[in-house]
Amino acid sequence: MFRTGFGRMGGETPDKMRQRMQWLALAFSLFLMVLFVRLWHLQVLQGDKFRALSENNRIAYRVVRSPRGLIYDNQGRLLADNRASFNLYLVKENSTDLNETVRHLARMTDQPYDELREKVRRANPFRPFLIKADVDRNTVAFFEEHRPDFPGVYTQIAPLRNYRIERRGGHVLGYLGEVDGQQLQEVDAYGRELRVVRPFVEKPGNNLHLTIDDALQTKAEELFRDFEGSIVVLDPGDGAILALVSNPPIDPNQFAGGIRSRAWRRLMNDPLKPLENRSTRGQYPPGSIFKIVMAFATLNEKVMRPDELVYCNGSFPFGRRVFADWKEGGHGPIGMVQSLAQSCDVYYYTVGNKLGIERIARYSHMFGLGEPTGYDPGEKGGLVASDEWKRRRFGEKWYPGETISVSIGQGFNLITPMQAANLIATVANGGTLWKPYVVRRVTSPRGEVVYEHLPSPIRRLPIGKEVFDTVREGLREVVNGPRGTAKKAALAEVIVAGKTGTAQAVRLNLTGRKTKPEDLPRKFRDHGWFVAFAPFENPKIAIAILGEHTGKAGSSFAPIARDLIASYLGVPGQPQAVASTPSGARTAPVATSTRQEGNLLED
Amino acid sequence: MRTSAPLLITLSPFRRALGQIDWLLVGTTLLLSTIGVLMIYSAVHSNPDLLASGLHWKQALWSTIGLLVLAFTLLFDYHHFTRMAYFIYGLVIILLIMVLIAGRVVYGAKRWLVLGPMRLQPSEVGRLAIIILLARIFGSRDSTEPLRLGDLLYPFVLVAIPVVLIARQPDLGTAFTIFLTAAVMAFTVGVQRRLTYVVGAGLLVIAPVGWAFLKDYQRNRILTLFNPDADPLGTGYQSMQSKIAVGSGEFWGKGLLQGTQSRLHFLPEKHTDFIFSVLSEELGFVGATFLLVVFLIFIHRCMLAALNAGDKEGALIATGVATSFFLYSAFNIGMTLGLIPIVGIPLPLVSYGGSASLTSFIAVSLVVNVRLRRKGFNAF
Repeated sequence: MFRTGFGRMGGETPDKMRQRMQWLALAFSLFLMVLFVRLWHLQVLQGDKFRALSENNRIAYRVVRSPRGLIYDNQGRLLADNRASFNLYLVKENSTDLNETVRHLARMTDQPYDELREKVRRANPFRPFLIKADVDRNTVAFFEEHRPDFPGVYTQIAPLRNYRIERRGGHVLGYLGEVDGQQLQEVDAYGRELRVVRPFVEKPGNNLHLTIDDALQTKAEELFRDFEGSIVVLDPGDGAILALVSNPPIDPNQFAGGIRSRAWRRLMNDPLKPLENRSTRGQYPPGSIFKIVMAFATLNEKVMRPDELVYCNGSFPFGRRVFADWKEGGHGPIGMVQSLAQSCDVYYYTVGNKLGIERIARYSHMFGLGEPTGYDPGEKGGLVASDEWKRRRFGEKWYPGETISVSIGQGFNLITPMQAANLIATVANGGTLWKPYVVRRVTSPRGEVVYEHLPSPIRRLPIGKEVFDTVREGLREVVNGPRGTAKKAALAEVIVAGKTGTAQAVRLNLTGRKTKPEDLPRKFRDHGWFVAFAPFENPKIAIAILGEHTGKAGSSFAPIARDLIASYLGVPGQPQAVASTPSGARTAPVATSTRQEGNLLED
Repeated sequence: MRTSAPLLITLSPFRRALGQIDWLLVGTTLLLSTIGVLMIYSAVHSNPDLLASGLHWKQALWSTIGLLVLAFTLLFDYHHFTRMAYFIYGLVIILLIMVLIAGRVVYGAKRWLVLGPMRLQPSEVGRLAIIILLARIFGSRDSTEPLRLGDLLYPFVLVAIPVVLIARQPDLGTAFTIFLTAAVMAFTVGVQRRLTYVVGAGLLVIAPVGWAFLKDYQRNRILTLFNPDADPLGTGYQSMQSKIAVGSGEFWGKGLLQGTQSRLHFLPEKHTDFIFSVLSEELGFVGATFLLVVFLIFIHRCMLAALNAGDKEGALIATGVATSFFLYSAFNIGMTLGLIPIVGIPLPLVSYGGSASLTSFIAVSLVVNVRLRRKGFNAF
């Protein structure tokens, strides 16, 4: 068995082959030398570095927050900045006793243990899991102090949006979440950051320069505190939004750190719908402020001369129905200016009937009604009723009787406070419909101008100056005339013009007798409107105020508008007592004597 | 003593043979497998599941079996193996096909055949079968002229079949190493210079085409070699962590069982493909260098056996085994040191793996065998 039965297979190894084997052996040795050198390099030359790396070896994703841009008002006052907040994270993989750690986390952050445990269970073991954003100092102190006991838990400072104005301006400033990045870093056993493997390039947000006037905004919010509804203040010169209030307000700070689901649900389910920006998404019947559009249509279409009188006896029979004026007994013979000043319904029933719905719709569109102003993507367009619209919507033709209702701003038509403000701004500036805007300029953190608003007129209205003069005179009389419906808006220093309105929240029969608003449940009460501009000769400010279900409280808005105007124009804001005598002359202020008269309401 | 005389006479061929056994080669083999068992224990001791499965004991058992097989196969002239080369080759091909059909999937690759309580990795046996087959084909060649294209086509096809089968598992590392071993054996025999250039140029042309056939993870592994920081939690993770483990061992190492990289589970596959990282971390530059030296001695003993072999067949077997061991260890260590893309290649004799260990012992046995029956010396 041990004898080899084999000869020398293939003969002896040739010398050349032996030579090659020697070369091969040398090559093998050389390569092993390369490995040796590499070992020297890694273990001796770089040993320190790797030793440190291994002792502290944790590679982790850390969430990094970018500071967001600052927001300024039109005077350069800071509206929103960033504040430091602490976020609490857990990297599961690094935790030694997960149950114990989660127990402490749950206790310190007031979360149910089981819920948190379940959330943590589903989290990625290697990535930081956000236990709680914006934790208080005590929690931070606790986990910083006991860091060695809770490996994997760490806190991190994050810039957080700080809206300097609490509970205010939420609908202007928006409620945007944070934009985060993740960076990869090596952290040691105690969670200290050692080396950033892949940095997240912090990109501070651009700074926003808004058209909002902080003082005016503050004043508006203050004056409007007790109402639900909206105030929109525009610069009639170019459509800049000077103030924007939507009540009930939302506190933007509530959103800054990521809103708690409970708080969010509360906001969602609130019957007053605080999340709804009423200035652009709230649609209301225009009420008597629609008479402004009617006045333009009437004069421009020459349906009625400015001085042509309509006799108002307090009712307007149409077909089998009789439409009533808000004033029992009527206004007597009345022309265009006084029809606006006293808000005579019969006058507008009459001209509305002559104009017809199509012309009314055409003029409504001309003033930007029935379409979003273009300020905000979520904006509602309101509604301008027409024959075509009604056929489309209800599949039936338009009845002339419906035109009568529309003529005084009831019926189908709906407008948003933003549209109302734009309407009055257009009247104020003599016929240019601007696209409202709130961002005047965007600058980069280094101060370069990234964006600059260019004035963007939607259209120039094809209406003559004399028509404007007449209508504006009417609106001046609303505030300053002896029989005006908003005499409380008058100021001693500047002439204010405006128009009141009441919008029916539910469509009541116009011919029927009205119930006292106080007797109605809140949701059936009417909405109150007031639009105004000032100074009369050279308008600088245009205001629209809408109060939801305020009943016949439209008069409350006249003083609000007056105070806002005074505040913005920098005048003392002395209420101008307007004489209720037919003489109409502006007399010296008699502070309280007009109180009763001032409460006069239209409709 | 008289009574023992006949026995001594009977045993004398053994005694003479024992004296001719390359004890240094056998010694380094045993040393490597002992280090292997130790490091496997170190790698698994922190993981209760792995520890419970007693991988280090299994490896010790396989090494013992390997040693017995080594001793047993020495009884047979290595020419018996070359004579059975085609039989062994055929068997391996069948096993490789069976793996592709019914193999067990581990880490997304089919590499093992489950035979009752045993798991066989035919690709390990394959590398030895190819060495034996090529030794037979090239060794029985009478001509001393360099190999021409015609001479290479037949062996190329024979090598290509198992290589393709292994690559399909997919086990690209093993397939590539086997192919390279075969190529080195052919060049040892001698290849026409012109042919060398043509093949070299051909490879350069094919390389980009081959790139297109690689799977994404394979491409990533190659790419991360050049930029390991690019994806430290993805493909670069293993390479990075291995380098940290090795480097952190520094000169003296952290001490046996004291490695933190493996304890903290930063090292993947630490008892198989990354066993060298564990060793370097715990035994430091000293230990790692020692292992390199042991491998160097091992390979040199193999090459020495090749140089002094009685015939071309023996020389080629020893060269093939030396090349195979060199490529496996160089690739494995190069990979753990971040010099070579991560390929799933074990460190021979040290990494955990029954089939690999047994094959390695048989391979060593063949080399010892070649030396035992070297030129001008006939053991039995």
